Formats: sequence, C-alpha cells, structure tokens
Amino acid sequence: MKGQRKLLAVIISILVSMSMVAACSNGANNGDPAEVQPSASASPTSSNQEDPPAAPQPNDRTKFDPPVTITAALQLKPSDKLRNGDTPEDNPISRWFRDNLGIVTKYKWVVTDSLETKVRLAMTSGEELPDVLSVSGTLFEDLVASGKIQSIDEAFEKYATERVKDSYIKNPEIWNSVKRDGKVYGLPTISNGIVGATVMWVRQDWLDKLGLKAPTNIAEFDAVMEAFTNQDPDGNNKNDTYGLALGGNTGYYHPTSNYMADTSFIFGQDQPYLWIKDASGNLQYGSTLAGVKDGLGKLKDWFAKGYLSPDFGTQDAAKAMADFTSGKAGIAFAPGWSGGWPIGTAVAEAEKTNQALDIKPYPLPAGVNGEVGRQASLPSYGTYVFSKDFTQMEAIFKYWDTLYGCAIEDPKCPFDKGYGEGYDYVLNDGKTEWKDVPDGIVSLNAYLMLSPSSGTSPTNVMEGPNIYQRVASGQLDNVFEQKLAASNGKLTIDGFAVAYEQIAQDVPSGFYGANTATMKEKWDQLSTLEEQTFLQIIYGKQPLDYFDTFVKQWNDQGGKQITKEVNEAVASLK
Amino acid sequence: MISLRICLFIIKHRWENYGMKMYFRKTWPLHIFLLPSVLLLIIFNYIPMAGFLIGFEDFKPWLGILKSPFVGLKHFKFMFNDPTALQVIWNTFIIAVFKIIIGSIVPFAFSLFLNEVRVMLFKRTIQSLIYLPHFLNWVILGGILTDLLATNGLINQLLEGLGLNRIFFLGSGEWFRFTLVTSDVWKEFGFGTIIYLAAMTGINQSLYEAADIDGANNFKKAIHITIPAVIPIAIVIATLSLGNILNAGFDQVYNMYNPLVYQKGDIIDTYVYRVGLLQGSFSLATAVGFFKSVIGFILIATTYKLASKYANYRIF
Amino acid sequence: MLKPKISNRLFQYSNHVFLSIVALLCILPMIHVLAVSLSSNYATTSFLVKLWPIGFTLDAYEKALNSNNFLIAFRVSVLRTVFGTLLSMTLTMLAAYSMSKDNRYFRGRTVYAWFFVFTMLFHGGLIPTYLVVQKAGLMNSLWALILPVAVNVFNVVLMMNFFRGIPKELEEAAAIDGAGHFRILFTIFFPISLPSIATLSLFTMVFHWNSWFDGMIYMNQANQIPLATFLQALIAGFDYTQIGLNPSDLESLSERSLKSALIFIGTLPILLVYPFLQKYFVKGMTLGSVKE
Repeated sequence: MKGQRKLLAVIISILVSMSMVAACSNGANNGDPAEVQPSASASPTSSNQEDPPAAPQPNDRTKFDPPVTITAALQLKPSDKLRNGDTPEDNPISRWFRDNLGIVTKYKWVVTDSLETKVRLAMTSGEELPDVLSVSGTLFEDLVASGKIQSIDEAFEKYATERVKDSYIKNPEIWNSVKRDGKVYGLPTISNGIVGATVMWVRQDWLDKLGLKAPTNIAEFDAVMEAFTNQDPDGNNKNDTYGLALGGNTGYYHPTSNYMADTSFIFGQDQPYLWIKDASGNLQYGSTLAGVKDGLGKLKDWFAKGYLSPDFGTQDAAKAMADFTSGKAGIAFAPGWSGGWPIGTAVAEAEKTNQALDIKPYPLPAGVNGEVGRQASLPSYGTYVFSKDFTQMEAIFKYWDTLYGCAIEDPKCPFDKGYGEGYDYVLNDGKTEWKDVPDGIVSLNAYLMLSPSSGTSPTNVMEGPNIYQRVASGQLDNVFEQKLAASNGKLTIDGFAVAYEQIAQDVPSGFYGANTATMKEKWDQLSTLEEQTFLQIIYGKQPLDYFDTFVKQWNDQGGKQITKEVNEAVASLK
Repeated sequence: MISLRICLFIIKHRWENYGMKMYFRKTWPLHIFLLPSVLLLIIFNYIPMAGFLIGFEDFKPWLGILKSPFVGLKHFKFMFNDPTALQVIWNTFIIAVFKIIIGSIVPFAFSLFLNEVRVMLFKRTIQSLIYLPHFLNWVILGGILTDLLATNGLINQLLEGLGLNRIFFLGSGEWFRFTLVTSDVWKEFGFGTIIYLAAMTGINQSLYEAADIDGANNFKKAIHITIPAVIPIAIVIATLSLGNILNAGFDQVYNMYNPLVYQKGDIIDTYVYRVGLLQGSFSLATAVGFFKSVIGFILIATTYKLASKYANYRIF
Repeated sequence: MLKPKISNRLFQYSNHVFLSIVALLCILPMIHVLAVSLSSNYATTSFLVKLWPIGFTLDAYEKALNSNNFLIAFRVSVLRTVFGTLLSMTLTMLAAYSMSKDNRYFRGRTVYAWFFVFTMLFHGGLIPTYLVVQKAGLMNSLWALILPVAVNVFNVVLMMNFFRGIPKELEEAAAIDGAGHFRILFTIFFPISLPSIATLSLFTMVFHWNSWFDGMIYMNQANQIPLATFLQALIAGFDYTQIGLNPSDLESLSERSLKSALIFIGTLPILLVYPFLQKYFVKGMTLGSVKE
C-alpha cells in the first residue's frame, strides 16, 4: 500500500521531469544555440522517407497498415479532466500516433496504486500482462525470473534508430540495471542527470538583513547558521528561527538524503548510501566511510546548537520544506524543480501579500572535508518491459524515436509546442501561447505510452550549455526554449541552471545492478541499523564514536559479504 | 354448547401442542438459514486457506502456490532467531494489550455517560460527532498529529503554559507508545460507543420506572440496570478483540513512527513490511500472519471456554 | 429529597460539559481537513492552516467535482455499499437467528459457531483469495467487492447476542400461533431488533464505503473503481503521480487542498448515514411494550 513511499523520490523526479518533456532541451547544437540542427548528434541524416528502409530512420512516418494495437496500463488520476470529450484512449496524443504512425494504445489495466501487487497477482494467476509496462526494482527482477517478459536485444538492434542507439552508447552504464545473464530485458529511460540534484536555497532577505554572503564552505555555512538561528533574521524579536530545514523522516532509510530538504552536500565526495570507488578501484559502501563520520559530527554539532529543528527526525520532506517556506528556517537543499513547488508557490504568494520572502538558489558550499559533492541523480528512473508474446517491437521503437526527437529538440517533433491545443498551449492568430490557456493548463503526459527521456535531454547526449542554462541566460531562439521559458517560473529555471554548474562533482553510485543474494536477506536490517545510528548520533543519543561500532556491526551482520558480492557483480558486468 | 366448547378447547389445545411440537422439531430451516453463509465462507475463506502453504515455502509468484520451493519453517525461524524480532514481538504485544484494554473500557464508559443525557438533540449531536475520527485515514491523522505533537506544537505549548516540561512525543520510545495507544483510542472510541448505545435502547424501560419508584438515583440505576444489561455485549466485543493481540495497527504505526523510536515502537507488521521489501514479502508475511492467528485463536478459545465454564455463557 | 436532585442536576451539567469537550476534540481534525480544503495552495504547502481557511478558495472543490473519475468512483461506491449491505445484513440475520438458538434445541449450533469464528482469525491471505475470485470469474465485477466479504462473522456474533436478549415467550407465543422460523424471524425478531440492525447495517455500510484494497486488485477498468480505492491512492503518498503535472504549475505537486477536498466530499455521505439511522435507536425502546 504505502510501499511506494520508498520510491517517492524517484517517482517525483520522474514526474517532474516528465512534465518537462514537452519543454525539452536542445540536443547537439554544439553550443551555438542560434543554429538549431535538425537531429541529434549521432544521427547521420534527417529522415527521408524515400530512402530504402535498410536501417530505421529517425522521424520515419510510414504508417502501420492495418494499425498496430498495443496494450498498456494507465495510472488513474483524481484531477483527470480531458477536454472536448477526449478519453484516455482518444486524445491529441493517441490521435497523432494513430493517424500518423498507425499505432493505437489500449489500456488493459487502470492502476490506482502501485503496479506491483497487480503484476504479482497476475503472474500467480497466469493472467496475461499488458504488452508494455513501466517497472523498477524487485518487480523487474521477478518479471525477468518469471519469463513473462522478452529480451529486447534483437529488436533494439533491428528497430532502434541511430540516434536512439547513440543515446545508450553515450550512457553505457544504463544497461547494467536491465541486463541479466548477458541479455537485456527492458528499455530503460535515460534521465537528464539533474532532476534530483540539489542546490542550496537561501533566504536572500535574511542574508541581506544580517549583512552576510551566501556560504561557499563549511566555515561560512557555520556562520550563516549561527546568524539565522540566533540573530533574529525575521526581526520579530522572538527566538523562533533556525538554520537548516532537514526532513529526516524519509521512509527509505536515508535520513540525511531526502528528496527535498536534504543535506548530502555536507559529505562532499564521501556520500553515504551509495557505492563509492576507493583508491584501489574497489567499491565501498559510502555510509561506512570516514568522511561520513565527519559529516555526522558536524550535524551533531549543529543539532546541539539548535541550527536544526528538534523535530527533524520526525519530519518528512514536505513538512521540513514548509518550515523553510513559512519562514522558520533559512536554508534548504532541494532540486531545481522545487523552484516551482514548494518554493515558487510560497514566493509568489508572498509577493501577492507583500510579505518578505526572497529566496535564491546557490551552488552547494564545499562539504565538511573541503570538497563539493552531492548525490547524483539516478541514470534512469524506470524501465519499460514488454510481454513475452508481444511482437510489435517495431512500433515501439517508432513511438520511442518520435518522442526521443522531442527530448533532443528535433524540429520535426510533432509535439514541439505541446501535446494538445487547448491543453498545454493555444494558437492565437497562428501564434503559440503557453500562458493563457482557457480554463488552465492541463498536461497530457500521463497518456504517453512511452516516455524515453525522463526529463530534458538525456545525459551526455548534448554538448554545450543545457537548455535551462540557455534560457536562464535569456536565450529564446527555438520553440522548445520559448516553451520552457513560458511554462516554468524563474526560480525553477535558475534552480536547474545553478544545479548544472556543479554537475561534474556529482557522486554517482558505482552499482545499479540487481540485488545480490545477501542483499535480499540482509539489506533492510542493515539499512534500519544505519538509519537509527545516524539519527541517534545527530540527536546526541550516541557519541560520535558510536559510528565506528556501527561500521563494525554493519560489516559483521552481512555488509562485508554484500560488499564482496557487489564488487563481483560489477566485475562480471565488464 | 358446553360439549362443543370443550370440544373446541381440546382441538385448540391439541393444535397448539401440535404447532409447538412441529416448531420444536423443525430445525431444518435453521440449517437452511445458515447454508448461504456457510457456502460463501467455504468458497472465500476456507478454500483460500490452502494459501497457508505459502508461509512454508519461498513463494515465487510465477511458480504459483503448488510449485514454489518448500522451505519448511524457515520463515518462522527467521522471526524467532532475530533478536530484534523478539523485541518487535514484545512491542506489538504491549501496544496491543493497552489498546485492547483501554479501547474496550472507554467506549463502554462513554456510552454510559451519553446514556444519562436526557436532551435528545444534544445526545444525538454528540453521538454523531464523536465517531468522526473513525473516518479519517491514518495518513491524514498522522500528519495532523506530527504537527500537534511536535516539540513546539500546540500540545507542548499547552504543557509549557501549565509549567510542565516539553515532551518529545514522537521521538522518545515510551511516549511514542503512549501516543499510539491514546490516539488510537481517541480515533475509535466514538465508533465503539454506537454498539453499546444500541444495546442500551433494548433495555426494558419498565425496569427504570420500577427503580424510580424505589427512589434509585442515576448512579444506582446505571450500576444495577444499565451495566448488567450491556455487559454481555461488552464481553463479546472484548473477547473477539483478543484476536488482535498481535495486531498493533500497521497503518497507524507506519504513519507515525520514525527511526528514533524503532526500539520501542516497531511492531510485527511494520517490521515484516520493512524486512520483506527486498525479498518479496509474501512468504514471510504469510508465516507471520499464521503465527498471529494461532495466538489470537488460542486466546479466544480459552476465553470462550472460561466463560462457558464459570459463567455458563456462550460468547458465540 | 432535595439533595439528590441538586447533585443530579450538577451531574447533568458537568456531564454535558464533559461530553461537549470530548466531542469538540473529535471534530477538530475534520474541521482541519475542511479548512485545508478551502485554503490557498501556499498556505497548505507551508502547513499554515489550522482550523480556519487561509486564502479562502473553492478551487479544490471545483477541481474535485469536475473530475470524471471522482464521480464515476462515487457511483461505484454507492452501488457496492447498497447491495453489499443488503446482502450482508440478510445473511447476518439468517445466520444469527439460527445460532441464537439454544444448544439443546439446535444441535450442531456449536459446530457452526466455531466454523464461523475460525474464519475471523485465519485468512488464506491475498494471493489465494485473489485466485478464487479470479477463477470464479468475478474480476471486474461488482460481485468481487460484495461476495467475498458478504459474511461478516463479527456482525453475526453480535447479532446473535442481541437476538438472545429477546424474551423466549414472544417466540413461543408465535410458534403456538403456528408461525415457522421464517415468520418468527421477520415478524418478531426483525422489528424488535431494529436498533441493532441499524447499528450493524451502519458498520457494514462504513466497511463497504471505506474498503479500498479489493477495489485495487479486482478492478482493472476506470469505471469500476470505488471511491475508497481512488482516495487511498491519492492519500497514501502516491499523490505525486496522480496530478496532471503541468510544466507551468509545478506547484500543483502539492495539492493538499485538493486532497482534503476529495477526502471531505468522499467522507460526507457516509457521515450523514448515522444521524439518519439514529431514529431507529429510539424505536427499540418500545421493546418492553410489544406484547406481554
């Protein structure tokens, strides 16, 4: 039921980023934004329907005749309000694919909660699965083991266009999450690499009032925290503010690393919860590194000084962020999209009512050991799998290529302006408007059968500045940039642009493969131990040196074995 | 005339006797009455009990119940070999016991107070208001309570105003248990009173009238008439709730707990949920569920026997 | 004689005050939900709303009532609640009547009782129950939400205990008049037990209205999903996937107002059932005067 809380961060990221598919970024324009090139980097030519179809061409609009019907699962939404009598199976998106490519989507399942239960029950009872499902985690493992989904190596080779292949070639680690016994069992989405990356949001008005600058290292950060906590930054003569909003109650064991209101910057390059390469090239579990102990020591110190909320261990991300947007806390770390909600919402409201709420995104300060670093966004936020009896993979890759084109700002993208007139844009005398859609903007993202890039253009595919950086610097040359600018708040754009500045210092995990044998048995207990230890140390219920006891316990209770297995698994994938 | 009357009387008498006899002999309609329920229970409850097998195997959804590998007591051992699991069982037991005891007494007592109200409109209004919390999801209430019980939340401001120390309700183990029990009782007691109020309407009014003539006050009437009349229902409910001796309320705990209180607040269901996330929890959950049912069943059966032996009352 | 009257009055007053305070404590969270549902997005996002709306707006209600899914789900819930309760109460009364008979009279009663109670504790669990429902061909049918839960043993046991409280003389008198079990159940037990029947019907209705898991696993089509399933998905932290995310209004990610509005309208109908049923609670008082 609430199993999904664990995945919340991921889900939010996907959604937030999906919402921006329409406002996609430029692919390969080599840093010269004025020259928008027709297609993505590796694609040799733009589409040409007369060519003999030896290799699949991008933007190939040959229609399937008779039309191909593909079944899928639809997530039911409470605020679902399709317009003009449209239905989930008959709307601007489905009509375009039906009329131009001869691809029809039917919804076999309507899902209200997670797919997980539904798929497992269907497996047990021998019911047929829909042709396409988007899955992740253990459900993917089970589906592979069940033999109910097909390996897609051949289909990928045969039907994927060059530019789509190229996107995977440039992100080779992505296949690791879906490769089992040398075969690929799903088509992973490729993230834009930034959707989960945090920036530092600071109350600029508080800084100004106290005559401070945004901190760039721990010493400066300390000073700002002290001032925000003790020097009455809101000027109400009450000691009712604190430094850093931190949501320690994550539901997925990572108390210092929530999807908003996190504090991963403090650990620099020694990120907990990730698999980190040591000097000899072996993977170590981040939470056992010495740098993490230092970070926890700092947090413990801050807690004791009142820089953190005494309730942070019970607060989830939304509650902690509320402390920030309602003027209790002065700093919060959150991804760029939070410049829309919740920060943007709060700032807009404050402007309306003439309250002081000036918030700005800043690059992360260096962590406790002098290095800048944060948890990298996941390389992929979900995988499409295909039923074993499904034979229309060609249609899948045509659908995929079309939307991939949109992700990399191909001018031939049929949804360059948006997904439907009257939904996310309107035409006024031939001019596209994104702001004044009658009855408000409605997104049609949910009705995409496949959504290849979970965000703006996939990592490593583009060169030069990212679309957020371009738009933030005022560039509005192509329709994608214009749409992004018109449909996102300034804080969102700035937030992502700032996040990109430090992307080189992001710390990825060295392991995204399947859970190893010992992991399956012990991981949740180890994580519970880890989470309790971290919180108890910060809360001062345990001395900092308890960390060493934890590391020993962690290793003894299976962690050592898991580390060994993880390193073996990684070696075997090479 | 007289003979006719006698004759009629005899016929009538015989007829009555015949009717009575037929009535008493005819128990087959009673079986018929039970038949549909029995069939439904067989189909939807007894047949699925074959699923207990899942607790004894490493269930793989794609292999099904019959073909998944059999592992015997592996999942039961897992529960009892893990030292944290024993703590978790104890937590569950303590929290559940308090919930059952207090949760049985409060609605009963409250319905007595409500029964004393003579203004019908007031009584009905109160009745309709106190059962509102029952309808709120723990996700919502959890959020509200996190706010109220925060160290600078409303409750703590009140405590401070009264000159007491602030309490970290959700962050310290003992207080967390207290919070669980109190909030659960608060959420459910109004709903629980309904049944007692219904039972009280069934009390013969002439008993109260007779007591009035004897000059009994409200307190005496409650002790001698109302409580004895309602206590059988209370016992039935309390007995049946014994089946929940190892159910401390997943939704509630899950939405209110945090790592600071795992030690005292983690219950079997939340533990199984967490531990089972990566292993596909079906088998462990089934094994644990089976264990909980057995314990609950033993308790109910024992109470049933005791009640029928010493009070000569059959609870069901 | 004066003293007890004064103390009685004192008791009445303090009792009223006590009950009012408790009732107030119970209604506050609902008022909070209502206030949130009527507040602006900023206020709810920042958790500023307590018991009074901040930045009053009816937007959330407009959105909720405009949503097709909501209205369809509402209809499914009404159907399952009405039919589910009718069936369940019929079965409950029939079974409880039989089981309220004395052991010496109705042999086999104890076997039935244990047969019923056993199912209260032991459940096969999700998977086998699902398999039965699926093999019975009930998937995507309203029956999947009604039949598996039609026999509520808790209600049967309570009803049985209520039936036992009915004076034996009434039953015997009717039997003398030649009434069979069926007639006795419906002409004597039924009218006398209206308060208990109303109570258990309420329990059953509430149960049906609030059940969400079965709707989730047995229903595959949007027009068959009951409101509780719909609301659960919305409330239980999966909300973020539920909202039509617009590039321009990411703030809708929060939607706490909409959630609260949906909760409020989703709960209201079932809340109104109880005040309505309360009139049956008084009728039972005539029990003593039925027939002597």
